[in-house]
Amino acid sequence: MIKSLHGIYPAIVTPFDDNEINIEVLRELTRYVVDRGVNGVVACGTTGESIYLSFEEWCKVLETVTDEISNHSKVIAGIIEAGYDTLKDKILYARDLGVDALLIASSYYFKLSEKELYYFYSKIADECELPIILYNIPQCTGMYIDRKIVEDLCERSNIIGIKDSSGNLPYLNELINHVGNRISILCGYDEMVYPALMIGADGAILGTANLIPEIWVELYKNVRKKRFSMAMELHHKISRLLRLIRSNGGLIAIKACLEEIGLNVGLSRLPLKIGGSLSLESYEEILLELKRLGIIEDKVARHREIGRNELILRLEELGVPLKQGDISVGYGSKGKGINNVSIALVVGTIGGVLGYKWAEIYSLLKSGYEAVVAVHEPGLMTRPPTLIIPYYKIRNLRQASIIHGVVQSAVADAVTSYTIASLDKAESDKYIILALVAVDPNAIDRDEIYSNTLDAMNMAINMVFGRGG
Amino acid sequence: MGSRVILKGVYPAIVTCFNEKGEIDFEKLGDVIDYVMRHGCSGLVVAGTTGEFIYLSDIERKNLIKFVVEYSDGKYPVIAGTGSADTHSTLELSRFAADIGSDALLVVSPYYIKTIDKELHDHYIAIANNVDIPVILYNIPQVTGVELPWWVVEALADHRNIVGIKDSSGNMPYFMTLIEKLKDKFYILCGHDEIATSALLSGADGVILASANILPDIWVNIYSSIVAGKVDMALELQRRIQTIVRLIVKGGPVAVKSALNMIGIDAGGSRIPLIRGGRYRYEDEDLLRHHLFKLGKIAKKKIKIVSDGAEFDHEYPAISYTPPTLSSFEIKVGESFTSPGTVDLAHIDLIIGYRNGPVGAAFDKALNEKLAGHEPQVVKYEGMDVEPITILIPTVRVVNEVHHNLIYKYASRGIARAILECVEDGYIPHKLKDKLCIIAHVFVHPEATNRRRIEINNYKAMLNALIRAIENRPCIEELEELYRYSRHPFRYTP
Repeated sequence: MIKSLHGIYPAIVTPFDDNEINIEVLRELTRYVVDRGVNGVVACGTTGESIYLSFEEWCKVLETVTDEISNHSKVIAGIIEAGYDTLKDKILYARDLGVDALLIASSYYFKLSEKELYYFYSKIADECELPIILYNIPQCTGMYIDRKIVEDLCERSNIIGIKDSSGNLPYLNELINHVGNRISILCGYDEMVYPALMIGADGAILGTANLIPEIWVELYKNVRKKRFSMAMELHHKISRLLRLIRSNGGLIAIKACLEEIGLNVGLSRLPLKIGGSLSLESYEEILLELKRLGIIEDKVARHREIGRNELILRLEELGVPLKQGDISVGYGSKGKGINNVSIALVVGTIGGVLGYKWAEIYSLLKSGYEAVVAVHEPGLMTRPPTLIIPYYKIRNLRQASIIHGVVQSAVADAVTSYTIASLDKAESDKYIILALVAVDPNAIDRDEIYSNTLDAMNMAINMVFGRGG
Repeated sequence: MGSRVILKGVYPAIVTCFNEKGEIDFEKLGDVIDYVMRHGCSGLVVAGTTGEFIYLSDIERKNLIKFVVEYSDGKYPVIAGTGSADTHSTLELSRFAADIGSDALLVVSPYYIKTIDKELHDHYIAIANNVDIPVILYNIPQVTGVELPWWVVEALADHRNIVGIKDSSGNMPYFMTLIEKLKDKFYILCGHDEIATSALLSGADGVILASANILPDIWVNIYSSIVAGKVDMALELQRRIQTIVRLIVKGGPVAVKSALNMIGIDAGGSRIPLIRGGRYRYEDEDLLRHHLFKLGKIAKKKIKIVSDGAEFDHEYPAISYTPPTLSSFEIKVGESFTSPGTVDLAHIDLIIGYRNGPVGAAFDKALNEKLAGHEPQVVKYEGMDVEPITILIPTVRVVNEVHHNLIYKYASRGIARAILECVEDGYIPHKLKDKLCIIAHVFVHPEATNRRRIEINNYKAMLNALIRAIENRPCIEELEELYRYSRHPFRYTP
């Protein structure tokens, strides 16, 4: 019987096909992570949607994983139950199956006193012959396992570790200080693994180790071999991916990403939904990150700067009158490469011919080229009213959020700052503005896009009003 | 000593007004005091939470308290907010307030560094032992970070100079524990506007309220109804103002001042860092305006309308940002964002203008071309076209049947209601309603599900966007105040 744990353990997802457990893919996923050097797997943890599985399904998952896994890798069974009575059968089944350890979440729903939580784990430890890992995950259970309870529970020989998924470093540090020499301390909060290992954690149980097991194994080995700067570099390399996954539905995002790399783990069970906790916009961001990390293939994007003539040509195609007396046109471009922004600005009076065109473009939304009113933020429009026309077709929600966010606020900021500095009230009520904006569909860096848009706008505004427009 | 002041009835926690330079504006403050006292409030609380005491220097606080005490001229009790983070400062300010003739002290529990029950207890005893006017405890954990434990209150109630507690927590079980332990031995005052009637019915002696700056008459009416045993009346009145008080509580001093400004009492702005569009969101401001008008608190004013070269007077529900003359009806643009909900929120921008001008031409063109995915719909209410005649255009491509219905049925109905109401309330003059037309860009998230919320959010967004368009808002002054601190939610790398 094992006495301690160290290394990387993916908390594997439970694959579903039409809501039924997909045994084939479960086997495939198990092999996938084990082949990439992890020390074992946790099945039916939080990421494994344990809370949504029937007892029979829980058994089926464990049976499959145990059967698939080779001798030197460990199988840990996750148990998430509120009460003692409902988990007894799981303990018996796991024992008969021969799993290596149990990962048991602190009870949930009712908030327990220290005494009750101690009672819960004590009863389990009394009845159970298998090694037990305590599991602190307050964001789901609503409560912490107080360090003093852990300290008391350590007295029992079959309590061999604790997984802390809180992400609370002072708490984890307290565990290491008080019980680190008696039980294994495992970090369950992906972004905190590197600092946790550095202060003495023994390993990690992770949802994202489904997706990037090899990176986690490498990071862990680097720390163990005291190659700290390499470990830190890896940590920062994957941090954004980890943060995006955590803050956008966690396991839903992990499942969606696994599908992208060809493991057909299917959807999460309801009520979890893509389009719910994982918004489609965020999903696009996660995919970009996976491409950047080389986890999924990236088709190299090439940027071609849109020149003044091309913008003017487009305005002419749109029928924008450029040569009337009360209309002025300006142009600005800023930035090199993919984050370049080029803008053509048309300013006229609302009662004039541009007013007619402005209203027409506003009323004829073309799929993929939808014009949008410039606002600093929702609820705060710029003045004079400014309509942004995207030059490139908008193909996905990420690209849309760059136009309807970064560009929208930068255009508004440029217009309003000019209005405040140089226009009186009557003028601000008289003018109307069109801004044709070219931002590459593959542009990524929002800070750069923002400042490029602002600079290009300022150039264009100066050109318009500098001539006495 | 101890029981000289009678803490019953309605006490507004009055705002502290500031002038353009950010200094205390006593003239404006006098106007606010006149307004609330004219409506029968029992007294005043000065330099409380709503009075932004936390942003005042010691000297300013003293000047403020002194001014209000002198202004009252002994005609009604003045309760001075004198709490500070530490005992020494609290004592100094409390002594000052007592010396210049305040009737009682409202002492907020120490804040910032969290204290335990013994420290809280000894703090209050030190104050009560060293001033000769009554002390009122003040529990407001949402800002102090500390709840005054009821057993500490119970112990402090034994002190002859500690006469009551103001509980602003809004925590009804906590409040009921105070009633259970201390009723009739100790003044128990409710400081949370949203539950004030419930608290009074449960035995509170009085209320100290932010919204009593704006609705003193209604709060006095609620209080006297309860005293007269007219419970239904009191509950009905609270229900009538519930939206307003919820927005006031949420928006804090910024909301109180904004509402005062809207009802015609110039109360100025708040001190930095409080700002419109912060906790008090733009949509809250618009909604508050709407409800204050419905309650009769915003009166119609005569403004000029210039249309087609002609000029006429019009009765309009104006606030300070409403321009005195409305003109340039060629194109007017307005925008609004409303919640709650993550996928069910609404975002509308619109253009309104002459049927025979640029907007009218665009209106006809949109209906002729019917671009796929963004098909326009003529907005109807119960089968009839609304006036001004309006089309809505979805800004996000229609993805499926559910999305289609949410836009063309539910959002559309909300939009129709808003237009009818704008005409009825006088935002759009009857004379112009058949001369104008509207094109509204309507955002409904493809994942939206909540029909009822879609209708309500779009109703609110349409109302706000339309009024903003008519008034050419945000105006330059507002932009100057607000745009530098704007935070677009999609501006940042996720």
